[in-house]
Amino acid sequence: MASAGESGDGADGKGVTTITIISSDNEAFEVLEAAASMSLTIRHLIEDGCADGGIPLPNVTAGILAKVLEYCSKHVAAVAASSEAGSSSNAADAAAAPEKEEDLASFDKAFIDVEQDTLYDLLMAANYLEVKGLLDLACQKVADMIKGKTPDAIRQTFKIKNDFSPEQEEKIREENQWAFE
Amino acid sequence: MADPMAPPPRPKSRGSYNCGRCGQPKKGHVCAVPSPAAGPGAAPTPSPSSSSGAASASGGGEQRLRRVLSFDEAEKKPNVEEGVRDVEMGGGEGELEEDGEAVEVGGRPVPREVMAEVLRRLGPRGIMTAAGVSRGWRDCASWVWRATEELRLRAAGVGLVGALLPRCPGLSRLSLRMESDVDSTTLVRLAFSSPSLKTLEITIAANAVNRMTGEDLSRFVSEKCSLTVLKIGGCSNLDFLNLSSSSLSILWLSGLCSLSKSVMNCPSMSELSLCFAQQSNDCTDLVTLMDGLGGTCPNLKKIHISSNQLSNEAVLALESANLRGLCMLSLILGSKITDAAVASIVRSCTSLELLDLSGSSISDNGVGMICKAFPHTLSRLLLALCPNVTTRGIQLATAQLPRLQLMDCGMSLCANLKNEKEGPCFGEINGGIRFIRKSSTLQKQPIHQKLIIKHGNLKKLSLWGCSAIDALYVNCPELNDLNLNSCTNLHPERLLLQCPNLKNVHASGCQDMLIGAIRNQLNHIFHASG
Repeated sequence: MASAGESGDGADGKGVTTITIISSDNEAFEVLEAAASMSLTIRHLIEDGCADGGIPLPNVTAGILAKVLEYCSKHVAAVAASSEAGSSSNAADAAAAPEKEEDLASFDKAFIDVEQDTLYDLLMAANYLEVKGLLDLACQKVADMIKGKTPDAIRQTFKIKNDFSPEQEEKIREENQWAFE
Repeated sequence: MADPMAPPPRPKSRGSYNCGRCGQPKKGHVCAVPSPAAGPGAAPTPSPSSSSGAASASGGGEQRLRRVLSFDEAEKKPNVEEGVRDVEMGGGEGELEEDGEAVEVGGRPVPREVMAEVLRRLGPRGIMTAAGVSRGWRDCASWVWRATEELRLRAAGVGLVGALLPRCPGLSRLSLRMESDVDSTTLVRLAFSSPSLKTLEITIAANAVNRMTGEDLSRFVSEKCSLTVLKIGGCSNLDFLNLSSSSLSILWLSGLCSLSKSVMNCPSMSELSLCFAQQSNDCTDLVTLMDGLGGTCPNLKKIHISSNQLSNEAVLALESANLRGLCMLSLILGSKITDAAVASIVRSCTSLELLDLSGSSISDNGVGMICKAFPHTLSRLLLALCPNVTTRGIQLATAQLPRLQLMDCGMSLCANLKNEKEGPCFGEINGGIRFIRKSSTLQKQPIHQKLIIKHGNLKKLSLWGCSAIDALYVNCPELNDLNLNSCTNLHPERLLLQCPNLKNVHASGCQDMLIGAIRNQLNHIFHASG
């Protein structure tokens, strides 16, 4: 149980708790607990009472942590907004719901449209922090970069060395010929 | 070489393999959530009305209500583009033991389970291509195959099937859309390569032929002792049925022509669906078939039979089979079925949840019998293409069946046939049209009929093709979906919809003014599908 009112847990007048997260290069980020909890790793740390004084993440640098928290904050806000709309009987709200979904989808699309290095970092961070939505988004983005390409084109995209011997390469090609059926 | 980005070892309880559809852990999981592509007005999904699959709650079940098995439908386009749902892997904790290996992507190591998540999204063919990139990718691909529990192959040929299956020894659920002929050798390959196979689904594309014979199927079923679900389409060469299995629980066969004998020794069978292509040389003895079910499949809960050989005698034989657990009964396209059959159903079944007698000749009296017998349990009533049912019968049903959630009266209040040559149309709850041979008992109903439907629970109402109606009043606070396709005589000024939760209205083939009137009456999301 997270303790309220102790250092590291901010609580503003509305009773909304914030959590401090510290990157590997010692930068501190304050976010809503709900947003931070989108990371299962962080959520478990909070539940285990390790949130006092801020949660250190020795594996995530400030730049990437900032992006991950941006993703979480945006998604948590969207969830809150849609649950408000769901309980509202206002038809206008209900009609606005699909638009808000579209907003989130375009946010995601723009968010993941980054350079390969950053994409890699996001992928690893999402995996380590167990942020399911972000992991799905990053995995899908990488998959989209692979889809439809020949092995050679894939190697070029990701700068991968072809470490097959000619015999191995022939064997692999034969085994997987059905890919082009 | 220490990698600064390598994740610290995680406790085994936090696996990250969750089903892409419902978010539940994948281990041993069969997803009950219908795939997002299947929405109202979308291509029909292969599922008889009697089946609720894994989604037994009424909410999920309605989405999958299809009377017409679409195994053979030409309009279902094979979706060759593969994606996330085509390869589902097991997330067993055993697998996580080996997660030390990393795969190289762009000069940086990616943990194998993350790479596997990426590969999985490429679909079967994509994974095969990716295996040719480097040794690390090849090993990761092999690992993905070994962990694969569910596989969906579209536009498959025997070669692809034969190459892939041996790589997936843990395969439990397989779905094939075959574009080349299926015969005994396909089955033999399946039998050998997939020892843990539980679910097998084979659909046949328009250009392929299913050459499976009764003999082939019998042998296959007796060899696969773990098989619980079997669904096969295009069974035009299946000459008889002789199945023995203690594990088989769900059996769907469609495209059947004529069965000379049907014996099903399947004590675990809970769901049976047999769809016959309406052929004139069908000499299946449904009476004996139904009779036999009592002894061999005593635990049947859901039956769906689509055949023009259905008769009152067959229904009486079903009564004598005494299937105490029957909760969904669908006997469709049997124009010889009359109220006498309803009397038999009412005698033998105690608590039906779904009854589908579409295409039958039952009358309002039969509807009355149904209402008296199942007021506490019936939630889905389908009486499409029942020419002897009138507005009186429909109004009776909505008045006397408080639990009703779905009502399909499509083409039952039909003023005349637009085109005599084509014969009556037969469709399903979303108004898709499929042509069948003309039923000789079709009577013309008078035009200018008024229909009043008031119901507190009704969620889906289909009046597609009810061209005899010219006035309609629907007061259903829970109604989500209303099908008025081809209600050509419905007068725009004689339409009153008091349905605050209405999400979808289908009105193709209706007068423009009617569509305008519908729009005016609904001040929230209006969806007119074509």
